[in-house]
Amino acid sequence: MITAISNILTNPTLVNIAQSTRTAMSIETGLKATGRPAFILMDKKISDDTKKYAATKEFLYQLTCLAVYMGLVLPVFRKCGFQVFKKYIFKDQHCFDKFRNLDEFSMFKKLKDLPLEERKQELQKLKDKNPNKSIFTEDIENILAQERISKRDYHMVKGADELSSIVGSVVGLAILAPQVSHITIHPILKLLHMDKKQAQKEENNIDELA
Amino acid sequence: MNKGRTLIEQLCHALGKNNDASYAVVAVATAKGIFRPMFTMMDKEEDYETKKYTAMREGLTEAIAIPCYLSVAWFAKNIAAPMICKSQTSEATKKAAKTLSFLFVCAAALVIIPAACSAIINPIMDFRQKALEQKKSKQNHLDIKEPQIDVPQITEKQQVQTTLPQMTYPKTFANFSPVNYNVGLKIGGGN
Repeated sequence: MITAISNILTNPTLVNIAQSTRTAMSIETGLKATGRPAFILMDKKISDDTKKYAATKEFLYQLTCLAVYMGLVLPVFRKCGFQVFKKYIFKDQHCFDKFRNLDEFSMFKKLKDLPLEERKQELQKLKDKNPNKSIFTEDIENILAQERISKRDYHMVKGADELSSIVGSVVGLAILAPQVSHITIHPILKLLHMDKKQAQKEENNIDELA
Repeated sequence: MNKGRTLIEQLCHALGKNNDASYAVVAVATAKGIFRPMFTMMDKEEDYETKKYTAMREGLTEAIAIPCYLSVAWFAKNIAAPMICKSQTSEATKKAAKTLSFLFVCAAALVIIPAACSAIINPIMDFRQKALEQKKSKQNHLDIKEPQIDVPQITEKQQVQTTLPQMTYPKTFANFSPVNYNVGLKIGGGN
């Protein structure tokens, strides 16, 4: 039993998800989008209309958060952050010279956890797919050819990527998502014939009857 | 400038070596705790009291969320070692702690924080509402002074003389009025 638990907990895929800000935040927001409305619908104290209204509103809000997050953090903050770190903040350091762009680093992250043989096969597949393009710089190809990859080779780049993701998460989820949801949710609720006043009126009627 | 760079460098170094799911959620909760009440208070369409109530609720929610996230991450770190095999290395324990931290953060966002909020915020808001009502009633009591009118004493004899004799009419079609029958009866639960 303990062996099974420790195997799950130390599973490389799960550990990578847990350590990646982007994946962890996306999964968490996705869970909130499904779980919170479900909990609202399970509440027996409030009327059906209020429940429907609150659950739909919560679902739409979390969906907006997810959309803003996926649409903003991925293309803007991570990519721009990488270039800012490479060209301005760490321009004197060699750690960023190994990677030309974020896509290269993302591909490297996927390959680094594989066993050496599998890694070589995957690298060959990538080369076959893009024969005219060099996939990695020479430095990275040398690192990937090693049996064991040291964290020292990439941890600064990973840290910069995580920091960009955290800044993107803060801006996206705490500042932009509430503004976007404020503009979009009410028209959508009206389209779905769900009005706050209607829900409140129903609730008041129930209170009066009680 | 140089000092700023070192701080960013240190942050990148720490996050690259040892990132945790709780860092991002705590950062987002802190920002939400500042910006959401601020945006609510900036809304010009809403009533001032409603804005104050909503902003306070939002601020309290995030104030509860931050310690919740931090405590589940701390709990995950402590529970990781007993949960995995003794034969595993310290590196495996660290990995397990990270995975557990992520799972607990998800559980906190989904169940623990909403439950904690309904257990803590509702009594606080009720208490605030009661305090506000008490304050209002006290203010009304102090502000409005009922005009003192000298009411002349009416004797029993005078009272009998002033009251009109009660007339009763038989209800026929000639004097039937549907309006009178609806007095005091609300149809359709009001507006």
